[in-house]
Amino acid sequence: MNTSALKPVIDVKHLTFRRNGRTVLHDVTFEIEEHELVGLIGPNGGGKTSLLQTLLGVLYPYEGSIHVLGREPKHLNSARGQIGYVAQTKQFDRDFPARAKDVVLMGTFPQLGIGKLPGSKEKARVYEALDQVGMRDRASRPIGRLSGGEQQRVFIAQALVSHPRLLILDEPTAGVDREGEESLIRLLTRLKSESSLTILMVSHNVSLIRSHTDRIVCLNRELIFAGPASGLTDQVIAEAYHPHPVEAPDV
Amino acid sequence: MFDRLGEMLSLEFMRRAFLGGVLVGASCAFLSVFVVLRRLAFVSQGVSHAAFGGVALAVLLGVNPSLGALAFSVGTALAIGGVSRRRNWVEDSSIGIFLAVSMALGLLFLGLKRGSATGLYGYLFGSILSILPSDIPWMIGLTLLVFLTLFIFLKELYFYVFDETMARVAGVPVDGLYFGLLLLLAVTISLGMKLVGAILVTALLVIPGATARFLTSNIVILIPLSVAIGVLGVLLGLVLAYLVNVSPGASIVLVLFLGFLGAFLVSGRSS
Repeated sequence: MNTSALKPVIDVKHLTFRRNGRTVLHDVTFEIEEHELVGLIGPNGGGKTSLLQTLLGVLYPYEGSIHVLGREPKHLNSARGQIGYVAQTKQFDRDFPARAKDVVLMGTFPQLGIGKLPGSKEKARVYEALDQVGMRDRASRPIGRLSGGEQQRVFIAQALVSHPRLLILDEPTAGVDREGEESLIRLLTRLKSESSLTILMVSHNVSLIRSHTDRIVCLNRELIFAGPASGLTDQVIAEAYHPHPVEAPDV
Repeated sequence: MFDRLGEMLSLEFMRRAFLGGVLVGASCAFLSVFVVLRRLAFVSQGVSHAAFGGVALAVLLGVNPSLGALAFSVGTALAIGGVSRRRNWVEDSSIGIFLAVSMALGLLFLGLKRGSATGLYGYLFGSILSILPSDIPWMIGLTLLVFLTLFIFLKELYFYVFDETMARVAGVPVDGLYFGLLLLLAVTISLGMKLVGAILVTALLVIPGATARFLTSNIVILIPLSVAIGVLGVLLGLVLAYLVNVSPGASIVLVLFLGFLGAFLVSGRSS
């Protein structure tokens, strides 16, 4: 029996996260099942990026528990290849000596282990991932010379190259024009339908998330809503984007 | 001209200078790729000058100056890295502080030393022509250390210098790589400066990588190109110094700079 199919891909229970003595997330509980495209929304400072970073094991919960692919985030090292992540802000130097295919190849490094260089198998996977995001013809272009939308596709290919089960994207449409935004969300929808990928994406574009995702998680330092996209009413959105009731305790 | 070149190669100290220069030049030029990509040029400047304090202390205590240089270089590199990471500072501020403190300590130790301390100035300006046969094994060891370490962690370093956040999330040990790079830099500087001087060692740690970056955007070419530029700069600089009878350190730096200028102009034209 395949037990992994019965377990949620992401299981967050009573998560509280604090930073510098302030409560950033309070008592958040939700689950994400396999093969779902889930949108994570909420106002700025509502705790979306903090939630992603606790899911990835970069930050640690103050209270509560998190399981990603059945493991606690601090034990995720053995499952690194099963999680693809596309960060909100890319800190790279636009003149960095890397072509699109070099950036995608970096996604294979953690699985290879120290001292081993990528071979023909990894290079084939790079072209496969570039194909998936429609960037094969730009494989040899320097990353800094691609448009914002094209760079985002390259970073999605980097996240996909290790054949992950879970893809986490932090505001992938930030800095991308409207056309690029639509194109990117269509790409994610296609990726989900063509594989067993589970996708969690943060976005500020509520209407885009509402019309293209299966489920929505809405945060404003506590869970405002978690359910099917059709259940996200204007009233819920208004509640989420209002000033938050949870008082930040002084520590 | 060919007579003079033949005469140059017949001299034992010149042959040692070529060998030592190629070894140190290749090591520094390989490291310079990551110094330039990770923007550690000012760190290497700071560490090389901080070693002055260690040399002065060693001279005062009557121990091997290389040990003092090594201890201060490693200590300063780790202090710069530690303060920058813990307080989330850019390195510039901590380098400025530790460099000044180390130089001040150097001057203090020099003041306490009675008699001549002329050997100390050799560490600041170095002398590639006075490499001893006993220095060569150290230089081979340094070259092996740098090349092996960088080769083993090559792909992780490349990912790390490209985007630290993404590399960290992907499971790359970025803190270990950062401090490892600083340590390697400190060891290279402290061993290299005795032979070629603090000024030349920092030039070798920056100019080859910066020059190669103007010429290629392919990392597979960038590393060997940087090493070739470093080695060629040392060889041409030494030959020029011998033929025109000028300081070899200055000649090497100026040859490297001319290469940098040429690459800058060529890349500007092609873009």
